Parts: sequence; structure tokens; C-alpha cells
Amino acid sequence: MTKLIRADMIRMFRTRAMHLMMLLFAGLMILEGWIASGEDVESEGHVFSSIIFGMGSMLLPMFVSIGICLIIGAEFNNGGIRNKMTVGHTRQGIYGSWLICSFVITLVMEAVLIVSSLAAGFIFGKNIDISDISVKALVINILVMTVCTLSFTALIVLFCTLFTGYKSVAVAFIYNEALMMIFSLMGELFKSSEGYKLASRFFIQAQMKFYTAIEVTDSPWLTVLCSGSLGIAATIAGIVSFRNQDMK
Amino acid sequence: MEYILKTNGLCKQYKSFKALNGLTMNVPKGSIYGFIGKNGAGKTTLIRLICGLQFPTEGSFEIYGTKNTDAGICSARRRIGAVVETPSIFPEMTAQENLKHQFRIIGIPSFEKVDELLELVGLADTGKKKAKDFSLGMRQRLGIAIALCGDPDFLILDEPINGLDPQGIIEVRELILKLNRENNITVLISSHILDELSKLATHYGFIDKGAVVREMSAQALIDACRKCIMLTVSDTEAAVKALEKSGFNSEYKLLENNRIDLYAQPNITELVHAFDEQGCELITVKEHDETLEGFFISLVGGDSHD
Repeated sequence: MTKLIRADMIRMFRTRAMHLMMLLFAGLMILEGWIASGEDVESEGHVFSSIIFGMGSMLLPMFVSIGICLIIGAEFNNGGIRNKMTVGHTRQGIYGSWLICSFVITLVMEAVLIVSSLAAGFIFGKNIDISDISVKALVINILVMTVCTLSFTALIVLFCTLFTGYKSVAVAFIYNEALMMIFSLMGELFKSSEGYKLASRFFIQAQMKFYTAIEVTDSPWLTVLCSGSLGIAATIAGIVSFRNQDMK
Repeated sequence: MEYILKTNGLCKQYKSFKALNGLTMNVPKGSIYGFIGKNGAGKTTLIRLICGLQFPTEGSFEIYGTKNTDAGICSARRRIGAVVETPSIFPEMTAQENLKHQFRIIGIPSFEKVDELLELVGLADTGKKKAKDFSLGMRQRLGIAIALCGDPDFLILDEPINGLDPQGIIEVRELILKLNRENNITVLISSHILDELSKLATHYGFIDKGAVVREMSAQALIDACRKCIMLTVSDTEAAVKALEKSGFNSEYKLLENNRIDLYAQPNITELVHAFDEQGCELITVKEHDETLEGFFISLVGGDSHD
């Protein structure tokens, strides 16, 4: 599998679409920083946190899913997967390589988010009081967000194998937007419901509004457990489905 | 005879459609095996099964003696190179980048052979041109180069001349012949263009409705399609004497049921006299003049699956 990971990584980081997406993502984060600097963001502590846990956490799943679907979709569309299978790579190996590469895309995108948010914070947030920012909250919340995003990544890889080719981009986009809408509406209706609170721990789209740079999100370990188990379940389902799938 | 690929009653069913229906075939080592059938006959389905892209619903196959259900099937596949349907290439990459990517997938650390392969398929001068700007023939040759990256002993080509111009067809044909003769690579080549396959193949498998209806060597096909006079006689021994006496020394073939195929244009009156002199009756005389296409149609029927 190491051969596949190496080959996939090199292809991934040489794909122009990935470079453009990273640039666009960073640009949007800086733009958001500029917009946020003109608003009253004192309640959120600092313009930096409003970017990273505001617009950033909303856009992160979208950019991650598009990036992954483009990389994996190209294998189905251009027949790259045939070249792997014909030379004797196992389906588990191919899936595993995609998953690891997708995790790397996710972490790189998150790094882009953090670095560009930090840059935007320094550029546009110089005169805002940052005394109420908690480094502990910031670190823990970023870690929880990372686990949730990786879990989301595992789901996207599953989608890429179920809806082969570039149609997975559309499926992932609809899934992401639908979940955001559902949790936004449900949040208004079932704010105090325990069931809603538990369900929201599984999905990054529901989690993102709970993060701030001031305090640690509620029961972070429970969120990690719920979200992580969803990611593991998606991976097992993906491998089982991919092992039995007919390719063209 | 040693066989690279053996299939045994292979079936593949998609919902209610049976794409393969008990397909049994054998690809001899060192051969160019022409796999012929109409569109939809099951050629690509078989190739997909061999390459591990799909699974048979019934039956089995062996690659280098390894059964498809054995754990070692993935290792056996490492000796295969294949171009299934369209060439599997990344359009945003150059020819060289595509080959390097395949080298990484296989795990070959050095790219020394990349230029050699590009030279072999005639793409050495493509430079920074991306694969998306290649002609169909160039893509096809790049696909073959990718299939050759792992130094395979067995090359599977699915309709490699589809859509190519005459020059492209000649280039691909010469490449296949070179690989077979110089590198001793066994080739399984599927096509529905019989005339083109006849310039390459050493063995044939005719497929129809998901099953092989006939396997034969190129020589057997040539014999089957050779223009001849089919004679039915009362006594073959006497007939042979008559033929030898008439000067048709080795231009005939003795068949079962007192049949003789005569590959010459005799004067029938003289032939009848010669047979009569030997006490042999000439029961029937038929002219046999079958083209390759005619032979194919007689095997698989004339209705189209398109």
C-alpha cells in the first residue's frame, strides 16, 4: 500500500486544481478577516477566532469534499483505478491509500485555514482586545474540529466509491449543504433536546457553531467518540462495499 | 501446450442480463489470441473479470495457473498489462508523467525505462504536451506504454484499433507484433474487426452471446476460409491415386466421411475421368469460397447486438 500512497500523494500535490483550491480557500479566509474586522466581533474575542470558527469551519468541509472528490473521481473517470487493479493491487489497499491521502488533504486544508486565519487576524485585527482568548480552548476546539472533519472525510471517501466519478462532487456538496440546513433548522426547534445534542456530536456541520476561542466546547471527548465512530463505521462500510463493487 | 489464461464456464450476470454465459477459452503462451465477437458479445466483460475489475457470478479462471479465488491472484496479475476499453491516462499529465505515475504505482524506484517505453510506442518526442492534447492513436499508444510499465508477460488489449485512422492502425499493429515477437509477450486482443485481427492473430476465439463458439489456430482459420473444391467420393484411397496422377500432389486435404478439399481449379471433366479410371465415384462437387467475414457470420449469426 505504501507504493500506492506515494503515487497518490505525488499526483494529488501536483494537481493544479488542488493548488487553486488552497489559494481560493486562503483568499476567502483573508477576505473574511477583512470583513470581520469591520464588524463588532468583540463578543467572539477576536477577529481570528471568528474566521477560524466562523466562516472557516463552514467552508472547510466544502473545500475538503471537493478536493477529495476531484482526486478520487479522476481515478474513476480517467481509468486510473484500472491501472492499479490490473497490476495486482488489492481493493483494500486502494481504498486505504485514498483514505490516507484524503486525510492528508483534510489536514492540509485545515492548516491553510489556520495559517490564513492567523494571517488575517494579524493583518486586520490589530486593535482588537485579545485578552479573553484561551489558548487551551483554541487548541482543544481545533483538535475536536479536526476529528470531526476527518470523520467527515471518511464519509466523503465512502461517497466517492459509491457514486463513482465526478458525480461524487455533486453528492458531497448536496450532503454537506443539506446537513448544514437540517442542523441549522433543528437547532432552532430542538435546542434543549438531548437527542439533538447527541446527534449533533456526529457531524462537523452541526458542531461548527459550538466552537469559540474563549471556552472549550461542551464534552469534547464525547464529540470525538461520536464523530470518530461515525468515521470508522463509514470506513468499514466503504471497504466492504468497494470490495464487492463491479468497476468499469 | 502451456496456457497463460484458462477460463472454465465463466458467467457474469447483470440483473437479468447475462453478459457471459459459460465462457470457456484457453490462451496459449506466446500467442496473439484474437478474441472476436460482435458488440455486446461479452468481450470487454471477460477482460474486466480477468483484470479484477469485476467478479464472475459463476465459473472460474486461471492466470498462470492461479485460480481467481486463490489468494495469489493479485500476484499473478502483476504479470499482466492491460488496456481496458479506453486508455487509462491522466489527461492533465504529459506522457512521461503518466508513465512515471504508473512506475510509482507498481513500485519501480527508477524511471530509467520511461524514455525507452516512450521510444518503443513512438511517443518520445511529445515533450511537455499534455495527454489531453494527444490524438486518439497517441492516447492508445500511451495506454499500451502504461500497460507495459511492469514488464508484463501477458498483454490484454481491448479493441485497441477502435477509432484509429489507417496510419494509427498500422502503428498499433506493428507495435503488437514487435512486442509478441521480440519481447515474447502473449497478447489477448479483442476486436470485432476481423480483417485487422487476421493480420496479427495466431489463435482465435469466436464469442457470441457470452460464450466461445469456437477456438482455432490461425492456420485452421486460413484453411477454413481458403477457396477450394469440396469433393465427396466413394473411395478416398482411389481418389488420392487419381488426384496424384492428375498432378494435384499436395493441393488437397483428406477429411472425414469420404470428403476431400481440393485447393486447385481442376478441369471437372478430366477429374471425373481420372476418378473413374481408379474405380472411384465422384458423388458431390461443391465450390467453397468463404471470406473471413463469411466464416465469422456463419459462426455467430448475422443479427446485430448494437
